[in-house]
Amino acid sequence: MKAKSAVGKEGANFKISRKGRYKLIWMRYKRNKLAMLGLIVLAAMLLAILTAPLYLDYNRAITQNISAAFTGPGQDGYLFGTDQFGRDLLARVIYGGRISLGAGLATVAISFVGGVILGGVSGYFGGKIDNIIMRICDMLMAIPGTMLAMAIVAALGAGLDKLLISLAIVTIPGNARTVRAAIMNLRNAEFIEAARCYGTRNARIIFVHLLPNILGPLIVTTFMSLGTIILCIASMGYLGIGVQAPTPEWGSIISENQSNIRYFPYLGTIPGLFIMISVLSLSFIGDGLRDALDPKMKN
Amino acid sequence: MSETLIQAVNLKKYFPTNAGVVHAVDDVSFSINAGETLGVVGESGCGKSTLGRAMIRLYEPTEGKVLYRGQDIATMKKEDFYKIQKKMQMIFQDPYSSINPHFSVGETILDPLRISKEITDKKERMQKVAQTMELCGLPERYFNTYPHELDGGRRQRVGLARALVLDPEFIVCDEPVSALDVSIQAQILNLLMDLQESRRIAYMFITHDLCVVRHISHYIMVMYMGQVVEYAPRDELFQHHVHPYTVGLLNAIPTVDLSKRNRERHLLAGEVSNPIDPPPGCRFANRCPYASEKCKEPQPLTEIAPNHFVACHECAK
Amino acid sequence: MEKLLEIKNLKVQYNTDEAVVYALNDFSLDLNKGEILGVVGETGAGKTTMALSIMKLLPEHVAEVTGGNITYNGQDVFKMSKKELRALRGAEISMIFQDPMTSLNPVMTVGDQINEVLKIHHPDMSKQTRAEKVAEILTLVGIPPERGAQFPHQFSGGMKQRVVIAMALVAEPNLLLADEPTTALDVTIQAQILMLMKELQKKFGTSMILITHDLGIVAEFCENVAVVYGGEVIERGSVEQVFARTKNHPYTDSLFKCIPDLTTDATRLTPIPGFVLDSRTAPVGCPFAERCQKATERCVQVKPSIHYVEDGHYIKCHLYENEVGK
Repeated sequence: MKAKSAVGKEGANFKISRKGRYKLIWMRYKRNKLAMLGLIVLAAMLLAILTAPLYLDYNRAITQNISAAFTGPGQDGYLFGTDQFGRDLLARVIYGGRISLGAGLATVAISFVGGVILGGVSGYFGGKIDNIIMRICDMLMAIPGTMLAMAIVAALGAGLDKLLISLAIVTIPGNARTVRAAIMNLRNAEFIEAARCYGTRNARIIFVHLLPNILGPLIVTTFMSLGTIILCIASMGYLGIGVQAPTPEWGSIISENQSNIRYFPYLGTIPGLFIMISVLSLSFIGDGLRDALDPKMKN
Repeated sequence: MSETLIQAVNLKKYFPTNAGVVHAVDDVSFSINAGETLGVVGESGCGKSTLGRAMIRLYEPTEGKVLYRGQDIATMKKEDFYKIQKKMQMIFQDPYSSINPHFSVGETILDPLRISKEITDKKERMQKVAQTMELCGLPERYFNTYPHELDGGRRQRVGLARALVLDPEFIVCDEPVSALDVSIQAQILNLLMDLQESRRIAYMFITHDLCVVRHISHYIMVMYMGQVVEYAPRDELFQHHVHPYTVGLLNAIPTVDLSKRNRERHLLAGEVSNPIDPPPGCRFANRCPYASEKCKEPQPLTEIAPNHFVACHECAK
Repeated sequence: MEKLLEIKNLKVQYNTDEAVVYALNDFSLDLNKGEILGVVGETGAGKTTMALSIMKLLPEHVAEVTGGNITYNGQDVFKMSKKELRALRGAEISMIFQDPMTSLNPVMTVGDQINEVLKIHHPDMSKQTRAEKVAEILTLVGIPPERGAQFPHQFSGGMKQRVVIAMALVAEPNLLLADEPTTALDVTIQAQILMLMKELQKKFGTSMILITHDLGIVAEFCENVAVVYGGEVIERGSVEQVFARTKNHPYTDSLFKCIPDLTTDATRLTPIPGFVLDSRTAPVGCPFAERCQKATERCVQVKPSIHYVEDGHYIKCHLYENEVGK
């Protein structure tokens, strides 16, 4: 018994180092230069967008000032120039980002959670539940995304919240399928049987044992879908069924100016560039996170 | 010593498939005493792994009973079963897929304690983890190590510690050493035997390797296509095995003993088929050199010597 | 005896992102014509790297040969042109892999796959002769020729391995490399396959290297044996000499002691202490030194050289340096 107590003493000092684990993930993430670049760019963008009211008057984005119409970038204190109504393009892009990026992130969050729950249940239990969920997903996936979203918005009426719901419905089936396939691959693994051996209940098996093992690839696909969603919001705005004018939003900024882009190309390129940069950053971040979350990657 | 710990009574596990019903385990009965090992031997597809899983209710049996200290765990309510589940654990074949790669060694061993709520005090739990790690020959510095940093032998020790931390009385060992190198295999086998001596754990040791099973078992059960063909105490089985399948199996094993190098080997022809909707009668008959008309009748297990059972009308004579 | 294959002081390392893995260190091995040699060793001992080196099939961007050479029939394998290598692989040397499930193409009939080998190595052979050859080899490996029209998934594991053997032998190679050919199979099937391989080896007069971790298979199947540890051959001799267990390398000796066998009555096995060698550190001295009970300071510092203890039986260990055999 002597030996036992000695071990016990040391054992009392054992700690599960959760903190250490996040530190390791961060260390692995930091090594990926592209992922770091994506993170910095996205963070800077979010910061600029969130703090906008502190340095930029929203009125500059929506108030028409015909006398200043089509001022070129950098002239008269308009960094990005103005549009046909003389509205400050910088302000429109920054405030537009609140909707494009904000709505995009919100949609991703909803579709991530929805996809994990539906795909997790479907993949883990299989059988009838799986069949029902997957057939519904198939039906939704059979219709082109933008069309479906348009149809849903048309049915629910315009508005940001409706837009979010419609986009989530469009993206959930894809996520659910990814999650389901990954879960099915793993659900019969011996470590899952081992967990069931000591009485782990199904919910914990799905969320604690299975989910971390599929998170990496899932994050990549989800972040990729964020790009698609921003573009989707943009194209819906472009079609005029997204956000109502004069509220700025990246897609609608381009659509408003489409007739003038030939002569004033900056009206298209600047908001377009913002969409491109945010999509690229997100895909870099997604790739970096996937590798960082894998404990097998070297430290 | 003869206190029956766990017992299977006419246990059946069928899997319905598109091709028909697979009789993975078909009417198997046996018992294991506390502190003893039953070796279950057979080739792939003989149902030995399914049987092991059905014993601890990882699979719900199709029919029959599993009695743990007289209680039927196969049909009891799930909630009641959760209470005694910790007394029966399992260790697995593949040291790579049997441990969650996202759990550190410490977390892996701690998780069963968390779930079973056996020990509520956090400090005590950690002490238990530390003791179990030492018992399994895992240095404390591995506590925060992730499985991919360990080799197969050490991972298998982690799997063993995860099962032992709940102080089980019965462990199903599903080919625990067949994925390991021989030098490491011996370490794990000896560890299992030490643990049995000190804690009177009963093992059901599933393997295809007759040499391994000989070292660790008290009783040996030979299975073929879901059925038991021969059951006997270890030495009796190795000295007086009678079932043609057991004979063929033992004959097929290559040995390092040069004096046996040129022995006459009666090799079994043919291969195991799938037990899909099998007809009654001996399932080995199509590979058996002595098969006759009578083999088409069901072959009950017959006791031919004390505790030595065989399912063959020819051998039982 | 005529030498077919000669591996001399071969050094191969794998350069991965994380570390350099020293797979083969001064690996030397000879093979005579018609010989059946068993190569035994544990995971990571370098058995498969050896086989891949002989075929020059090492993964190009990762593996690096840092020394030594391989001579096949008097020709340096590493200096062969692409064309010569193609002729070497399949026609001269063929290989049987461990897993019959993955070494066959699932969407091609078994007969076509065997035919494919003939097409590549005997392009001038007529269609008729090829079909006859395929039927002949299928019969030889115990598969009814009409099953050649079937796909691999219609075959059981043992039958698939027979197909793999047929593919390996149809071009009548001079050397057959079998890398754990029966590890994925059940014992009764393993016995069938080994018997078959032995029969065919006799019939074709092929030389064979059988790579395995199972000493029992070596004892029953091979004439000679090479024990590999830490990327080098530490003992080589005839099966009679090595399995007589009078003079052995300490590693071979402890390997014998720790395998559960049907013929010993010991209830406890004697495991080899320590763990399987970590080949990420550059080798100095004897690779087995840290697990060897007879090791001295010298074993850690100085690499032992080859000492003959009997005719054709050598051991790479300082313990035997006073032995005089040839």
